[in-house]
Amino acid sequence: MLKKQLVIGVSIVLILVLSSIFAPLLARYNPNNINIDDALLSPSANHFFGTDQLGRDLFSRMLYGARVSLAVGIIAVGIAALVGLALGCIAGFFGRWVDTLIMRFLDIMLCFPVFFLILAVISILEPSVFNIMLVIGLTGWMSTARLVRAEVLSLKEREFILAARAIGASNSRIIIKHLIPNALGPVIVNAVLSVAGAILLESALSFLGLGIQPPTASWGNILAESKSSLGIAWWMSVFPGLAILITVLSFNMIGEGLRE
Amino acid sequence: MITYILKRLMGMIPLLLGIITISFIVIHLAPGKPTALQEAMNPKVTLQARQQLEKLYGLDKPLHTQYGQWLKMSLRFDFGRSFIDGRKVMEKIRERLPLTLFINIASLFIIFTFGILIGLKSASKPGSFFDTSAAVLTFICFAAPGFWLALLLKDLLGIRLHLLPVSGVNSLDFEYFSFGAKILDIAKHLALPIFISSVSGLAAISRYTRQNILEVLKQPFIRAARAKGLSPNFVLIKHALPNALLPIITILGLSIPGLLGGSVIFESIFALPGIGRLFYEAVMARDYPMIMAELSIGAVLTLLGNMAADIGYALADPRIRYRK
Amino acid sequence: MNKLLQIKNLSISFKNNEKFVNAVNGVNLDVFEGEILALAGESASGKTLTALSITRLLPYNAVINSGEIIFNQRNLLNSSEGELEDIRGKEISYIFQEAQASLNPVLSIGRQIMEPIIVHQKKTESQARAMAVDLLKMVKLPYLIETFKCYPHQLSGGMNQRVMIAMALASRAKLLIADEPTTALDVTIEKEIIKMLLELREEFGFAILFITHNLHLVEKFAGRVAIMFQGRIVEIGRTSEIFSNPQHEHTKALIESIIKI
Repeated sequence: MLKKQLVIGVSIVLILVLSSIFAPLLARYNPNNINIDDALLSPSANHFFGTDQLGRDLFSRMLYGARVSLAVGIIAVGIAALVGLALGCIAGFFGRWVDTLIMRFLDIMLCFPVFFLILAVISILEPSVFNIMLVIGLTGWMSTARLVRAEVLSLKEREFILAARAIGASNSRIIIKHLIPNALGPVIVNAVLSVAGAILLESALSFLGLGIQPPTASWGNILAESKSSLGIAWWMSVFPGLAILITVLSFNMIGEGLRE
Repeated sequence: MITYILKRLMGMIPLLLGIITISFIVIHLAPGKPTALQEAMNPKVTLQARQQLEKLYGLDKPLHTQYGQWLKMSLRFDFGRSFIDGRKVMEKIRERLPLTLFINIASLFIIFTFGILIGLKSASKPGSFFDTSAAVLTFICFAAPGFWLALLLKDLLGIRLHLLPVSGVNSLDFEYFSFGAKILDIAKHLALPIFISSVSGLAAISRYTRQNILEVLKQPFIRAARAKGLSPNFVLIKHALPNALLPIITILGLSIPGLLGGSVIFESIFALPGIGRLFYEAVMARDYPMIMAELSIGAVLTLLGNMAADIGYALADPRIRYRK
Repeated sequence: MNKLLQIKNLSISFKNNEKFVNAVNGVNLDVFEGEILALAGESASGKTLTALSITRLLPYNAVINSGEIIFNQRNLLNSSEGELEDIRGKEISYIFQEAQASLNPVLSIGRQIMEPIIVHQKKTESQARAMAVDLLKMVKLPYLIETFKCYPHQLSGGMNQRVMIAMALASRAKLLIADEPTTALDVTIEKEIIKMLLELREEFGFAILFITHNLHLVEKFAGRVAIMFQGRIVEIGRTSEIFSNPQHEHTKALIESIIKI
């Protein structure tokens, strides 16, 4: 059952990644090509997913949108995982006041409603793709840090670490050679599940107009544009939403599958 | 027990200071003077607004004076006046808070009652038709973006079928309604937003309850309870459920930030005048006093929620209540 | 003496990683009214599974393949779940190894003792409460009213085991199945608990099926003993005879090992 989950999840993500890489080959139209005569066409053989109110081909826009969603999701989580790994290792390994300080900081970060914090920061910085990745990453490291800290605390007392210490290995060597590789398993599972969350966050930001800025396509901002043709063009709200749903679902499936 | 509560309350003080400090850092995120950058980045910030900002946060004074000023503002809950209309920020928040609280409390009620019921039913027969369908449904609901569901339902129920109103809290001719009709009108307007903001929480809590109950059912005291001749349903509800619910009390506290964040999205989709929409409007207009106020208040609400959950847990779990 | 319980040709297998492993193979065992029968063997010899199968309390991954368990002229293996509920805690009671883990941490001691009284004897809350306090007195727990309101974590292991015994005897069971009841306890507490069990048996006349790996206890305590090894009963008889003249190699080894210590 779980194996099947993993296979399905991985295949869908692979298809998504490949099609976003080869978007220029797969897309039959330029995603930003405006053609008012073709505005709001329903799905057909020419336009698989129909067109938007500016006559742009929705299928092409969604292929390019996949790039943005996946890139933001994966890179943001990469940032979060690195920060979490570093802080968790330091807290667990050095203990005492360093640990207290980092864990207190973590507790404080957890008090902020993440979405409020991201919106506040985005309102100060400009909402570029880079800033969005950074902000999602820097507000999402807490669960990883906790996991890594707990793992390091239990590893620290194990024989092989004590042995490494006894032969005089330096702290940084112990952390890099012994602790990080052993703590990596749960971090990866957590990261895969977090990608799903980050993709949801990005799409919500873009939906509110505070994420990826038009004309660059993202699934979230296509949905935002669909608001004005609600009741007229169902394809504009159904397809991008389904794409987000399926992507998030697949990452969750991989995460759950790996966890076992 | 009282010492435990006092200890928890004392523990809040450093967290509160931390929240204030991080908000302060957010104001200063932009390199150099935030006001200068704003001008370069965003023509929306006029010279006047810049001067307002400088005056409000004392940005022309040395850093420690600025921090002192921000600390004083935060502790007094006096965040200055909104850039949009010059009204006091706290006054505007106070007007809008009840609606958001009402929607969130209603969602919490739905999430926890139905989530626990679904989890309980699933756990009572793992692998049954009910359990499998609940598993598939919750997995999908958990992955579906809430704002998308909101759009689809608004389109379907509101625009196509005309079953429910799609925006605002009440109808235009609300004043002329009878009392009963007024309640019904509000209920119709809020049904969709409350439902949508419950979906992902409902999915999460029902999964969590199921998993917890199945975990508790492996404990030796469950077999001992069955050995006493208690029926499976009695054991499930009187023995397994109370143990499984304990960790869920903590989740109740942890769900506040998510609900607040969600209110930004749902209140703007359904044009509801709550603090979520207020925050959204503030972000769009770069109304910093409002943004900072809501950020701080959101964090404090979360903190209070966590504290309440911790204390609730301690009251509910006899192992903490009567510590040896 | 009359046979209280007959186990005939009982086989149980255990599902482990998709494979079935035979855990109990063709066990035959009779328990007579009022006797103390020890079922002794190493861990994983199948003795606990045998004990649990009597009222079908087996874990979900264990399956009874064949056999009969006759109690009151009824085959419990064919009885409905409802019929078994009427027997469990009323006619056949259990006490387990870890008393504290066998008590619900979030329910008070008193509430847990009252439960079987209300279910089996159809008493009201207040009657059940009075009876529960009497039971606490019977197992010699101090400060009855305070103990009644206590939670398991507030009591010691020995006190919790007394609570379990009180609960097991609430409805005057005819058979008490004690699965390593003193293994988790100090030696002095163990003595007290065993002594109390013997006194209570004098008074009420129930039989005890005593599951243990401790042959010292068997020698002192049991009238008869069955030795279990790899899912089979390899030897059964009067305790004194088995100890003085063991037939099976495994029994010999077991007895030798305790003499060495």
